Amino acid sequence: MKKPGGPGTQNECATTAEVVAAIESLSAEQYYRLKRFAQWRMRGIGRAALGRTHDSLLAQAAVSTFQGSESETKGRKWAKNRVPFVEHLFGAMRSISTHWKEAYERRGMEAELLDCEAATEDDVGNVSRPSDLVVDPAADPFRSCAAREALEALDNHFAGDDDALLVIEARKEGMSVAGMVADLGLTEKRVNAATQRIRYFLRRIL
Amino acid sequence: MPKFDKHEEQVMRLMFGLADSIADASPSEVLEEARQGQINLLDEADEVRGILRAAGRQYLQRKLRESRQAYETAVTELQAKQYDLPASARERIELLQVTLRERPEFEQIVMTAQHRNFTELGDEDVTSFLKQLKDLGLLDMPASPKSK
Repeated sequence: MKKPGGPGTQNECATTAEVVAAIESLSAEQYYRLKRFAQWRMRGIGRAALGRTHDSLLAQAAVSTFQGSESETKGRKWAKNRVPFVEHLFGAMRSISTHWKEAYERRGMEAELLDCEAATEDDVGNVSRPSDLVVDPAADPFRSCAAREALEALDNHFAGDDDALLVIEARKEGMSVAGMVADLGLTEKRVNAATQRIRYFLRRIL
Repeated sequence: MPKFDKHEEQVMRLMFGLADSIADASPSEVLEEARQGQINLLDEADEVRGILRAAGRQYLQRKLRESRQAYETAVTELQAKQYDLPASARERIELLQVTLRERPEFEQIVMTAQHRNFTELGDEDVTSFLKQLKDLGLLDMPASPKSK
């Protein structure tokens, strides 16, 4: 029996059949929640998505889970007795989208290194650089501009809504709800309400 | 450098925070959001279920293709192997007879119930049995049989 780490049945991994059964047993509300989660993650990684969509993220999370159900070394294992399936998929999507973003950034750095080390010149003096073949490593001014505009639109729309402005600033710094409650003097209820208003607004403009 | 600039990093953290807020929201909150956005939850469920099912099908089909490929490679390798067997059909069946006479226990390994009678064996079966014995390292006899 495969275990993702640690002893006991708590860590027992789901089989392929159990993953299929879990997919089929989700409620409509859970499917919707998964889709929204995937959409926000993909909006977050912006240009690092490289044409991938929330569909790609959902599909990759599922494929990775199937791999984990059959392999000791590949994919993500679902500890079925410890983690609800939806939570497992959230975790997989977090990890995959973060990996996509980091891989995108690394790709450009590798290109820079290779460029100075691996440029070659042929008999007639044509210089060939590995980075000619990879993505333009320059920062994308359009994406950057779009990011700044989205932040400005939020500031403008929520001018006068102190809770929302606080939550936006806190989220921009990566603060959690618990952190906001502890450090900003907001209650959890106010944080959640403000977050909901932000989600509704961004869904309209993005 | 393709690094995200300050604004992109801020937007990323904000969006990731909103993703987490959806993950942590109560079912009633999620349902209310869908209602406000005039979302048909059943359509959404169909779409996402379809994506997850397709991913599963794709994964399992790829595994099947890989297994089939591995099987075909093994068959090709088996067919391409040089077995150094006798040249004629008569010599091959003699070799098999000699081998099984000397090591009767091999009979259980290669001969199935319907092939107990040598006179009914075709050359294809005989060659296949000899190849199996070679593959198992059990046929260490010269290509030409020496009858006792």
